[in-house]
Amino acid sequence: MFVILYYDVGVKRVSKMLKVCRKYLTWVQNSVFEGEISYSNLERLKSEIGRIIKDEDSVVIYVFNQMLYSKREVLGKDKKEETKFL
Amino acid sequence: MKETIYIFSAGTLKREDNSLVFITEENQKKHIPVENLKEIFVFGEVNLNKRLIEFLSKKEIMISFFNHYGFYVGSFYPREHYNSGFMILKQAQYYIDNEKRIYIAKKIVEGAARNSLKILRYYKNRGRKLDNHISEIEKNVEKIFRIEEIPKLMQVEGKIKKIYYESFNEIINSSGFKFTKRGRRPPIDRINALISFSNSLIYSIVLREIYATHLDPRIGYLHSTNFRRFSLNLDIAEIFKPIIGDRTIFSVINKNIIGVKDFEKSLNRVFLNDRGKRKFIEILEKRLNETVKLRKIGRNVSYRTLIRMELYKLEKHLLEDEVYEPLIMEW
Amino acid sequence: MITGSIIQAYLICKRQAWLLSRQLVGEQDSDFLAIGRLISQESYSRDKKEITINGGKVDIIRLENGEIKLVEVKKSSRMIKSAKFQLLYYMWKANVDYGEIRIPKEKKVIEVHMTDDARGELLNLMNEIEDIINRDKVPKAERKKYCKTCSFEYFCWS
Repeated sequence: MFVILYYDVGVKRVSKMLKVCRKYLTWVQNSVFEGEISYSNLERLKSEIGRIIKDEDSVVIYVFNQMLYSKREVLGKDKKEETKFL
Repeated sequence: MKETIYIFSAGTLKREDNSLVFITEENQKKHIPVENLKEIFVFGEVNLNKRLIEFLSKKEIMISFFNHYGFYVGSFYPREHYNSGFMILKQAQYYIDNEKRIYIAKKIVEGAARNSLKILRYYKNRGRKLDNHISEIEKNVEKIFRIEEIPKLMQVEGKIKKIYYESFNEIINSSGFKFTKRGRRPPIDRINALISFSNSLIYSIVLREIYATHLDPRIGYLHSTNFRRFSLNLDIAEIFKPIIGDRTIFSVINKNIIGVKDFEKSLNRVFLNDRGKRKFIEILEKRLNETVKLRKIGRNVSYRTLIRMELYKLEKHLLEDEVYEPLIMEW
Repeated sequence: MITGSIIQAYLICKRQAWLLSRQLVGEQDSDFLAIGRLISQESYSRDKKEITINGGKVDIIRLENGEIKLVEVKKSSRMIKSAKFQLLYYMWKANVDYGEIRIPKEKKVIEVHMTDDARGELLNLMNEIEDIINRDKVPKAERKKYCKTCSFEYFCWS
């Protein structure tokens, strides 16, 4: 499945969030990640995030079982990191 | 489904914050999501260290290296995680016993030939003159069943391959591509360059799937086992070369995805440049991720999964659970 | 040799028990296996966990009122019978009389006592299992509802 994840967390936890998300997903822009992920990896990611965030922080994850009826559009620059071909 | 990544640029691959980064020569950092990774193909000049290798091993990620021409150099095959002494002994037992060995070897040659015939019939139905090639291959397939020694089997296999490759000139309709004869080292024309590159990739892909099973990649049946090199992946690749590799070759040429400009020549060697390699990989990956419906499972599975399932069929043969019959394309 | 996971597998699928007895394990990155592993890692992470006893791993071991208690963590109560015998087996091996099956997702705790009846049932079961895994040939695959979530699905139905 495919997920889009974004977060708004306290300054002290920003870099931790960035590191954890980078293990599972592709960076798109500040505080936004996306990518294919397996069900079990998503659970692992959620549990890692759960250990970082505090009550006042917010993380939103959109989960798509399939992308058939979706379209990705970018206005301006696409900052998404290329990870397939380096 | 975990991903494969391909590194063409020069730079350093390293472990950082429990994940992977690739640092380019321009000092740009590219982050690679390690938890979603299953293998890395390296084409460029990449530096790496033992710390990285240890990390890849822990994460069960295989890394394969290719030289400038796209030829396979070798792989880092991480520490086995599906170790079964019982299965390895069975594998060896079926290798040592000539009758048992030749049964598997014959089935591999037969599977490869029948899948090649499927391709030829497909193009025959689209008006290509392939009647002679088809009937010649069929005649040789008949011979397989009477063979009792590996060298003889290799001869017939070679004959089938030769006829099959000659048919490529009928299938490919592009003036820039003419097949002369199969020459591996070095590839002597563009079609040979594509075949060699495609085979190199498929060998590594099959090797990665073997890693996900209980089989030992060093013991093959058609290709003799010598302990310097993997051979089981060469065996299983035979069945998938026509289905995955050759169909990709025809589609990149006939749909003008890859053209004359994607090749380079040095001395008498023809090979794909980086742009050509990349385009080929993109189409090959699409093919690998394409799915077909399997009645026994009742679900769609990808071609990559079909490779793993082919290995499981071999395991079941070794366990005397089900007699091995190779995958013959039906769709 | 019998292990806890062989006992658990046997009650669901004899073929799986036979395969496991030869170290032929299912696909470890199968989502269902991975989730199960995650649940036992995540829940009760304060306790000392994953104790290896000869023949398998128990998730948690606890000392309460001077008595030792073994705990197995499961992801659902769907296959409770097999979980119970797996735990009984560990209790028998470790000489412990009391254990619990915990299902964090359902907030359930199931008590397991080593009674004479339970011991008898366990020993009978172990005899049956010995019989199956000592056979030369693997039991044939049978399609079950369970297959869909099994880490051997691609193996059995390839």
